Amino acid sequence: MKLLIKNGWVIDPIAGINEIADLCVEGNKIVEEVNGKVKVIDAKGKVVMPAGVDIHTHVAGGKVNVGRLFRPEDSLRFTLPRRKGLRSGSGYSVPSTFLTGYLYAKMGYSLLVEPAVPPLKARHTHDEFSDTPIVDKLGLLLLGNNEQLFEFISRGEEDMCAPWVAYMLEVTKTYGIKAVNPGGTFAWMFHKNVESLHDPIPHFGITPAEIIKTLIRVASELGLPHPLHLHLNKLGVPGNYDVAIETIKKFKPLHAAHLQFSCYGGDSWRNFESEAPEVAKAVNRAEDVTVDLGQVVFGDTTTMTADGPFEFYLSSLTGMKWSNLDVEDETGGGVVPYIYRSSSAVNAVQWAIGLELALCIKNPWKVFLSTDHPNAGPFVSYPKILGWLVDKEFREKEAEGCHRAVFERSSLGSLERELSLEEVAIMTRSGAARRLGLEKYASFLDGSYANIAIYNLNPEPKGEEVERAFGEVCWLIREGEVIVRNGEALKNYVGKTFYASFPEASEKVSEAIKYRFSYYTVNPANYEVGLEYLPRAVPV
Amino acid sequence: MKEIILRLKEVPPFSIEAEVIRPETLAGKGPEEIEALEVWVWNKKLRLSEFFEVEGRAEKNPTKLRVKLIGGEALKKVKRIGQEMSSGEVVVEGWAGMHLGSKMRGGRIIVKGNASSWIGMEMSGGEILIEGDAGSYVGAAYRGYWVGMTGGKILIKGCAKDFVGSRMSGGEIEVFGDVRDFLGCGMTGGRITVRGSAGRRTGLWMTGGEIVVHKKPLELLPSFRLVGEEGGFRVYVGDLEEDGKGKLIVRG
Repeated sequence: MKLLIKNGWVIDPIAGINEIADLCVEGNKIVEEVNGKVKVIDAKGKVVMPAGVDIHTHVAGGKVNVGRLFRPEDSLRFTLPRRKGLRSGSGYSVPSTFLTGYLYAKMGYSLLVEPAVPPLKARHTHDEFSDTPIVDKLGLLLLGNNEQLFEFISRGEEDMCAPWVAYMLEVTKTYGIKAVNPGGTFAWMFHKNVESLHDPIPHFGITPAEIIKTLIRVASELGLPHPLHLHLNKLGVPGNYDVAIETIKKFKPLHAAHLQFSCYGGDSWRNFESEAPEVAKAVNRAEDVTVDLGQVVFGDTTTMTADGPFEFYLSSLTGMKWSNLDVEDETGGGVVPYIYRSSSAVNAVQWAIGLELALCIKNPWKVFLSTDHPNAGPFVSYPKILGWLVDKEFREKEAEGCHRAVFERSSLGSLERELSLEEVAIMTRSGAARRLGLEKYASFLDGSYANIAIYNLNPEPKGEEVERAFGEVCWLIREGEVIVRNGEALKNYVGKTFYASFPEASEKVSEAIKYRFSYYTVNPANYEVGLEYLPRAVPV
Repeated sequence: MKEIILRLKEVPPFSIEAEVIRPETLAGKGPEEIEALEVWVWNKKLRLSEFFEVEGRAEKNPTKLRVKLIGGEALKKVKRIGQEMSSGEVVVEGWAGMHLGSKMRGGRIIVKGNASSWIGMEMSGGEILIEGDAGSYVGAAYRGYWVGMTGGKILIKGCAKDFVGSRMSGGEIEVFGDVRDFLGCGMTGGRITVRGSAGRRTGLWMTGGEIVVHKKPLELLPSFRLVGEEGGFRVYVGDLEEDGKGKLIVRG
């Protein structure tokens, strides 16, 4: 099929386009020109961007499903009846799989990163991926608390780490390495946590710093397209910003996830304040470090993370119900519902921190939009956040409804910057795609895959307009096919699943680890995910 | 009060999700308009006219509207009557299905027969009167949610089943008959009076509010502490397991 998208304002930061132009599609690729029988889309008065890329969103796998089971009341809040050719769904902060796909497609997204796949839950995650329509998916494997790795590191068998990681990525069909509170979740097994990068963990005696260093080295040795994706130590605790700054200064390349949760000053929730400008300074100075926001949105949501100790802490703090995931899954995890209230000083400052980060980090290629869905808010709030970022008045209107701590304990009031649409495009698609090494899925360079989102937007919009436009894409084109029209999905398009492939990895490690499995409650087959679980697998 | 009558003419094969039967939705509508309202039955959306015959034109002002349902025991297949209503009156001449008056904010519901479970779920105002028995989860929180009934009043002339007032935080429930297990489970406020007896684990996890049981409950949890006696009733405080300060008042 041939497509011609005419007269639209084309913004593609990767190709460096920001002008009124025509876009041609033949088959599933972008081409220089088309002729003959062509379907024409008139995008006059509209903005044409590559489809969105979300670098950090919990949409599939063990704890997401625990969240769904654990929060039946969340299902009541939003329901979508079945329509012709499409499936039904329910859920607001933890929507069911099909609904997740439709809602992301409605916002013009085409690629999601599930950043926390426990090795033993990889098959479950891929099962949910294959039921998440329209979008492409990839998973990052949780290895920050992997006992096998700890053993290699503590024994000085550093050369075994890379083959082991390659083997794990290959058998679980995941794309990169994620570390969540490295060492801390393991210490949780002993009712402990780590307080800094240099606290030795129980039993192995190694430190989070050593674990991070090793994982970064492994990622570069294996040539993984995405660097270590790190959920920092001491997350979500007042006075944790020094850990964030130290980590950002010390390690590269690195992607620091949901940084909002790591910019906290003060030493208790009473004198809690924002240290986002300091952390942003460190990010500005650091080379090869990217971050995503973890922007708070006020309302009811479900927090879920592989950081088991943090969830326990949160549940004791709020008195909310708590679900803990088995630490024996070679990573931990917890789920706790949470309500962010604009009348609460702490929540209001948390809200400000995300925006401060987005505005104080000068280079948009270093900071990507996320709410750490669903931890700081559901992903359906992205359009509203973009509104706050491009329009100072819109942002101040929200701030005025919040606890006055927003102005007293953060610098948000003094920030004048308003993001341009090009910067928005970088934060929501191009930057993330580049960081994932998947530029050809989110750009208009010749030969790229034609993933195109067309929004009803003028080039200098107000906050409300941005919120409305990004909330409902006019056309979403997935690899040359119109899949969404005016926010309504037209069919269950099956997305691709990317994974890092190391076909010969299992031979290298099998001898070294085979005997260990004889002492273990699981065997290698428990990890292995066959390609039959991935409907459209793309090895990288 | 001006009255309209919804007469059940066909016993539904499956339960009807009839959240449209509430004064605010019906106000100002003629019989044809009301019969044209859509309800979910199993996986189909059907018109109300498939099951009901409407008599009379509904008053414009919902506070002055009385909606009367006639249909005897078969009405137990009609769910969500008066759900989220905030004014006016609903009278059920017969039984009532699940979720009667759930999330109700005001107005009044009278059921002449028995009612099913989840009546007055998470309600915040208004009155519900059941002349017969009620099922489980009276004035409770929806599954998974942590705040049940916050205001209003539920009166049950007969008996009720399990989890009456579960996670309730305000308002009042009075049951003239007996109730079964888990009365006031996780309650944080409000008042429950049971003139009959209660089952096991009465007041489990309660941290506030007051439960009065006139006949001796089947079992008293060990996590309640006796603090005094007044007028033939023993007063306990608990649930100490949860550091609770709820009051459990039981006929000695």
